[in-house]
Formats: sequence, C-alpha cells, structure tokens
Amino acid sequence: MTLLQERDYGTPARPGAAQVQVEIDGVAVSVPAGTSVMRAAVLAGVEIPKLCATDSLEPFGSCRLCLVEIDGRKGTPASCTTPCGPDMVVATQSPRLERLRRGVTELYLSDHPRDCLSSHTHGECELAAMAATVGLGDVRYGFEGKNHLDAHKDESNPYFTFDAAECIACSRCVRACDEVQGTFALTIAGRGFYSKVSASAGESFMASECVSCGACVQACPTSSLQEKTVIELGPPQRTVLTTCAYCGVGCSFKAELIGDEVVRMVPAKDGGANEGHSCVKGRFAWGYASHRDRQLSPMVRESITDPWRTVSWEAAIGYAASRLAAIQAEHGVGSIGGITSSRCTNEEVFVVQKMIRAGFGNNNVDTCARVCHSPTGYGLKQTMGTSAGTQDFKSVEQADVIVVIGANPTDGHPVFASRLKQRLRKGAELVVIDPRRIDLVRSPHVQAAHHLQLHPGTNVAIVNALGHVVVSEGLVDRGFVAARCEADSFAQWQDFIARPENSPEATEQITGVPAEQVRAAARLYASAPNAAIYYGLGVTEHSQGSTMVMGMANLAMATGNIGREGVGINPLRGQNNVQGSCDMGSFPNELPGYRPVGDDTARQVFEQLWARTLDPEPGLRIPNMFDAAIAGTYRGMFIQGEDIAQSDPNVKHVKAALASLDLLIVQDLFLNETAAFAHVFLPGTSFLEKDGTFTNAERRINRVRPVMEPKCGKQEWQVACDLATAMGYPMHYDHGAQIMDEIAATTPTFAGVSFARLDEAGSLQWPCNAAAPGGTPTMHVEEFVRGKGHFVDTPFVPTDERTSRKFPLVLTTGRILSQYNVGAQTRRTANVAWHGEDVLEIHPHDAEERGIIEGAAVAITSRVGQTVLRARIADRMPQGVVYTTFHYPASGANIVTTDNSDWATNCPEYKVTAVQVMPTSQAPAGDESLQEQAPLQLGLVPR
Amino acid sequence: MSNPAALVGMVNQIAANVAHYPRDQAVAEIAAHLRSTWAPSMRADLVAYLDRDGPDLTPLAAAAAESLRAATTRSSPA
Repeated sequence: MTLLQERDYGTPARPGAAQVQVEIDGVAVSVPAGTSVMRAAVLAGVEIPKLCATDSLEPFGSCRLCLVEIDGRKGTPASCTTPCGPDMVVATQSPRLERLRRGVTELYLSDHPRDCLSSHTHGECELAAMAATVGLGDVRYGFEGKNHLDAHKDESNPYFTFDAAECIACSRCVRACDEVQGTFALTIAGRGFYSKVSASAGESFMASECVSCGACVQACPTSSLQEKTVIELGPPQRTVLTTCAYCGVGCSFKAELIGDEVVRMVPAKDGGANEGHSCVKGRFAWGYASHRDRQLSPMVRESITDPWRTVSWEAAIGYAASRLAAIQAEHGVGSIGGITSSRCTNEEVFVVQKMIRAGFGNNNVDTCARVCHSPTGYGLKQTMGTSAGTQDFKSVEQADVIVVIGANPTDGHPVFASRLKQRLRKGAELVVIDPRRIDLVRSPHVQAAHHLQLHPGTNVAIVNALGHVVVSEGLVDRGFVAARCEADSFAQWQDFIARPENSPEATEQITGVPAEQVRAAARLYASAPNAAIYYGLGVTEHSQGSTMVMGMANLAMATGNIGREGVGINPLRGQNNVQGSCDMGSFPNELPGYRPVGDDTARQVFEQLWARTLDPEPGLRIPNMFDAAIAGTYRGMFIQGEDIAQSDPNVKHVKAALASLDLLIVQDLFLNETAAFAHVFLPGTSFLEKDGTFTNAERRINRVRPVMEPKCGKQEWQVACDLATAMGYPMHYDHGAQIMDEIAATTPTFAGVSFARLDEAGSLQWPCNAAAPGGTPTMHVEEFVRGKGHFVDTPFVPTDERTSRKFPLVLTTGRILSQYNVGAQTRRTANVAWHGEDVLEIHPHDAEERGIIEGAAVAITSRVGQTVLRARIADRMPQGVVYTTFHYPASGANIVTTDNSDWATNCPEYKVTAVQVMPTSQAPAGDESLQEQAPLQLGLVPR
Repeated sequence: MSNPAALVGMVNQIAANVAHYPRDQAVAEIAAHLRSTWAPSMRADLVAYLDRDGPDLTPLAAAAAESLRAATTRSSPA
C-alpha cells in the first residue's frame, strides 16, 4: 500500500436523519441538518481551501481561507462555521474569493519559514499546499518585517518538537488537546502578533500537563508540531493498517513507513475503537520492537545456571520436544502444560492451546488473563451467559450516568478515557467508586457527582448497598425484569438484597462510605435514562472479584440497564488481547468459545477436526501449576509471551515453582525475568511482525498486519506448530488466515469471521455469524445469551487479608499512563522519561506519622515479603492505603503481594495486601534478590 | 500431593462464598464448581486430605469433598 491519505472533511459529521439540500458549485448534495458548508462541499466532491479546520475538531473560523459566497447573503462567510440551510446555493470559486484567499495566504507565508514553499517541509505543511492551491509562489512583503522566524524550538518532549517559527496560531493543537484528548494542557497565550501556543503556563511541553497523546501533533497543519522520527528519517512513503499492541482499547493505527522502517504510528480515523485518537504508548512507544535487547535466535541450555547456546530453530524445537516427551514418559501426560499470552494474536493463542490439548494431550493450559479478568468471564457468564462486555466504546456517547468502578481509565485506558470525558463534558453525570481519588474525580471540566471512596476489599458491600437502595426505594425496572430476567432468581435476590445488613447504613461500617452518598449514587444510577458501568482490575483482583462482577450485573439487570446503547457492563481489559486469549480457549476448563471441556458435543467438534481424543477433565490453572511444580508433579512448561516471574503475586513462590521445573520453554521478545529459569528460549515476534487478529474489550476483532517479515524468521504460530509436530502431533498452516478459518469453523461466535471479511469490514465485533453477519456492537438486545438474565445472591465475605498492628496499611497496585504492565516494552522506550522507577504513594498523614518525606526510601513489608521504594506523598491516597506500580522488576512489588485470590477463578488479590511502611537506609532495588534478571541473562548470551 | 494448605484454603473459600444457600444446594454448588474447574489430580488430593480426617476443612467444604469421594466411588469399576 502506498501512503494512505485519509480524506479530511473539514468539520465533524452531524448525526440525525433530517436532511437539507444544498447546491455547491452547481453540484446538488443532501446532508444531515447542521452539516457545515465545508463538509457538504467535500461530500459534493468540492475541496475548499482551509487551514484551521479539520474534521476531528469543531469549526473555529479563524484562518479565513475557507470563505465562500452564498446566494442571497452578504459577504464571504467561512464555510467551516456556516451550517447548510435549505436550498442554499454556494459558490466556492470566484475572482473575489481567489483574491481574498491569496491575500490571507500571503500574510501567513510572510511569517513562515521561506524554505517551506520550496521544500514542503517534510511534505506535510498544509500552508505550503494551500499556497499552491491558491496559486501563490511569492510573498510581496518580504521576510524582513517583524516575525517569529527565530522563535524558540521546544524539543523537550522525547517524541515530538514544537517549532514556533512554523506555527500559524490556528489553534488546532489547542482544540485537539481540549476537544479530543480532554487534558486542556495547551492554550494560545498573548494577543495579536504575540499570540503563541503555550503548554500549561508557559512551560516546556515536557514540564507541562501534556500527556503526549499526539493529538496536537496530528492536528497541526504545518510542521510546527512534528514527530522527531519524521524529522530524522523523512516523510513516510507507505502505510500498513494495523492494531496497537498495548491496552485492551485496541486502537487502529496507520503504520507509516519508509521501506520496512517505521517512521511513525498515526491513529486511524476509521478505527472503530479509537476513531483517530491515541495515547503516548500506541502513538510513540513502539521503539522496543527494534531494541538491542531483543533476542532473535533460539537458545538452549541444560541448566539455568549455564550460559545460553544459540542454536538453529530445528535444534531448539527438537530439544524442547524430546525433553517434553521424556518428562511425560516418566511423570505422566499431565506433567507438562503451558500458558498463552494476552499480548499475542488470536491465531497464536489458538494454536498454542491446540498444541497443548491435542499435542500434549491434556488441558493444562491457562492464560495471563487468569491474573486480571478471569472473574469477568466467570461473573458475566453466570448472569448473562457469555464472558464479555456488553457494549462498544461508542456506546458511552449515549450514557447519561457513568459509573466507573475500580478503574483508572486516564492512565490504564487513555483513549477510552478521552471519549468518556467528551461525554462528561457534554453533561453526563459521573460516579467513581475507588479508594483513590483518581484523575476522573476532578479534572479540567470534569467533576464526579459522587466519589464513593471505599476501603479496599469492600466492593461487594458497596454493590450490595447500591442494590439495596434500588430495591428498597422502588427503583427496580419491573418491566425489564419481568420481560427479560428469571422470576425465581430475581425474587430470591430481591429478598437477599433487601436484608438490613445490605443497607448503606449497615455497610457504612464496612466500606467507610457515608450511607447518604451511597443512596444518592444509587438513585442517580437507577433513575437515569441510560446508565453504564465501566470497571477494571479494581473489581476483579479481589478475593470476591467474581462476586463483584455478578453484583454489578445484578444491579444493571434490576435497573434495566442492559441491551441498548448507553448502558451495560463494560470491563476495561488490561492487555491488548485479553478478550481474545480468553475467547480462544486459553482456560484449562474451557474450549474456544467458552465451552466446557466436559461438554461432549463441543469437544467432539474439535476431536473430529483435530483427529485426537481430548481430555474431558479440566487442567491446572496457573497457581495450581506452581503448586504442582513445587510438589514435583508438574515438570515441563511452555510460556508464551508472559513474564510471570514479575507479574504474578508472591514472586518468591513463583520463582520457587519455576526453579523446580525440569524444563521451561519461554517464547518472548526479551530475556525477561521468567527466562532466567528457562532451558529453552524461543524468540517471538513484535506486533509489527505479526499477521493475525486482536480482540479488544468491546469484542472487536481487528487485523494485525505485518509491516515487516518476522525478525526471528518465523511467525509464533509456526513455532507452536513445529513443536507440536516434533512431539508427534502434526500441525501445519500456510497462513494465519487458515487459523482464523479453523477458529470460525469450530467456534459459533466467530463463524462469520475471516481475514477477508475483516479486510472488507475493517473490524467485526463477535458474535459474528449467520444471525449477526455484521457483528454485534451491543449484546443482549432482545434476550440474554443464556435466555433470561440470572440474578445471583452476592453476600459480602471479607478477605482473609487483614490489617493489624504489625501491618496497618493496605497496599494496592496498578499501572500508570506511560508504562505498561511489567514494562518489558515501555521500559525500552523513551517513556522512561515520565516514569523511571516505581514509587510508593502514601497519604501525607501516614507519611508524617512515620517520619517519611518525599523521595525517601521506605521499606514495604507484608506477611510474605519486603521491598524498598521511594515515597511519593500523595493526597489522592486515602489514609491507610498505599499504592505502587509493578513496571520495574527491581521494584519487587510482587514480592509483597500474597497468594490470596478470587474464590471462583483464583485471580490474585493484588488490590489488598496488608503492609507496614517505614523509612529505611536501604536503597530502592538494593536487595540482591530483586536484581533485574534481564541484564544478567544477557551476559549469558553468546556474542 | 499438591500443597494441601492451598487446596484447603481454596475449597474453604469457595464454601464461604456459597454458604448462604441451603446446605444441600451449597454442597452441590461447591462440588459442581470443583468438578468443572479443578483438575482431577487436585480433586483427588482433596479427597485424600479428607481421608486423613481433613482437619482444616470447614463443614461445608468437607461435605463437598465427601460428595466428590462418593461420586468417585460410584464411578469406579467394581
């Protein structure tokens, strides 16, 4: 594909069925009422010159280039700010208009670098293009007058520059920051000639509130805001449409390239999840794919203390297969297994679980979704019948009340957060349920109506209290419940939830949230025409994670907030393909499509196609694998793209398990912490090399297209096929598309999905089958997947993890905007400029009591371990609660977290660990046991 | 045997979360959950723990483990 130039309609589309007819340069066109003349012109095939207008932003009318003449009207109105009227007749070309446009353009050019006209700086300056459009080749005024040509160039941001000399003060960057991103970090300071773009209060971009989402760079019509890679490498020459490999939002991107070299990633305007927006990770933090730490050759070793030996693919596969087979011969079929990765494609995950089920002959397959959203799968399947969120992201635009529970979208899911904030600025009300005062509680032009700042570990008590108010105050949507839900389970739940112990007044003692706040929030949610719940790992990573998911589902069903746009239960998935990895049969008790392994009918579908008898019994979950490894009954493991030695709780236990294995095979981009325990390292592919699909949090299946051949020589699915084949179970595909065809043939919700259909449609949301050939943006519209909605009683059972005099504080962990998960990717990018180490956030009073000052080293001690971090005094923390991230191996956040987990799914309870925090003379990461393994392992790699 | 303390902790936790149901239903719920999500080796280890009196099992958890043992006995060839 050559460089893809998306059409810019100048102003946003206007919704609505009412049409108006206009005639533009003699061309008749019908457009929705409210459409600008500029947009109508583009739709009629007429381009009107413009500079300050772009279709991602509301019209501004400042550049005066888009002037037109309208029959019956005086003057030359700006077409961007003029809505079409009935039977309007518009002329976009006339001698007067040409004269005006040339004059305006000439004035702009007189204060613009003169080489722009001749060189078209980086080929992207719209001013230069407009000069050509209006036929301007020279500037009569010269360049000697007062100008900005020597203005300061801000190069503080690692990814883009701001060259004030090229700025035309059109405000597109300012408006993009306001309207699209919602950060309001930019403004135009000064007046008249002295007008200039200013980040925050005249600070550098890096020192300002800018979050580096790239919206301003994308909006800039000149090269004033420009990616440094474009300056360094030159303008891109071709485009590959693909999908971001960071969070579960799943943004569509245009990878813009010179040859096979990525010049930049630009969010795709027609991307269903992101509609042209991005965050600092997807937009800029892709350099890890070519980082020097990447391992591109297979390696093996006998012992984990041996140096690595680089070998051929054949030798590595042969070695791995023979040792796996030997382990099974000695210790039984169930003595080996593997873990799939939510960072890998659906096709790669499907093939690995097939390798394990059909090749290894057991169901010992699990996925890293175990440690994030497994309770979502359990809870939503129990209540509604399928393990997935109910809406698309666009649905939030129809929500009147938005409840955010245990999620911090501005950090974790920033592109969705921008969409959410757009809706809030238009008047939707917000309820935040979170121990921390997250940014959404109060940020520019956003103010939560209620912040229920509960004690960690008390989610279920809160959701029960909300349900109690709904029932006791007559807020149940009786019509919805009668028509759509089970009468028996609703009646039982109604009795349960109405009990006095579930009242806000009773639960106040548990949650710490004043009863009146809970009552007000419940009334707001239940009374809204459309109310939606969005939630994250603050819901799932608890001992009652599954119960809480069911509690939220109860609440949504009782109030009729399911089955249409603007409502629903929406999990914000952690990694890019959490949804997909679960869909693909990564759980040890479920085949692809969430069908139990004990379901004979479902199992026979695969048995017939795969020509193998499959085990009808569930296999081991990840924590069970660890226990079995230590017990000596589980001895060989394949880990696809997951760093469990950093990401999983109670890392000492994890490492003990890994060290117990006879054979550990790690497939990854890097020699990660887990690879320190590996005997076989198989290099993986970055998203820039993969050819497959990711499924995001809204069940949207997006294509991941390779921009280059795999650097290691093989697609990851080929490696799994080779390993299975070497173990005596032949697996072969010519292309990833064949794997998707097999998924479609065996998994009813994917029946209508193929690479060809995805290429045609752009993306598809499952279920996509004969009943829904175009996919399913909103689920449970006519009926629930399980038929009638099922209510589940959700008694609050406190976690076993209790604070005490010895461990008086509660530690919660999470992530921040610039880093991602274990940091394997983002730590190998310039994102370290924002977050160079993990710190411990602590409330000022807790800090003062302990004599802790900002930046001091503090020891965090739990019942299972201790680590040292620097303290950050933060009044967004409630008293009694401390917070850290786990992006750096040496931080040892998961040295401290415990083995406690969700009762139904074993999802770890990362959000509640009782700790003590005290000043220490020990340096952060000073403990030898916490030393990052990657550099040590790199030292064992032959050079 | 897998870590008995971990198995006992897990089954007791499951029991605590379904304890609001009538006893027979709760026992059935626990047993069904174990059958559908626990590997057979784990279920066998739990039954073996029960056979050693299962001192740390809560009554509901012990009843569920008992029902697993009974089912195993019924399905075993004579």
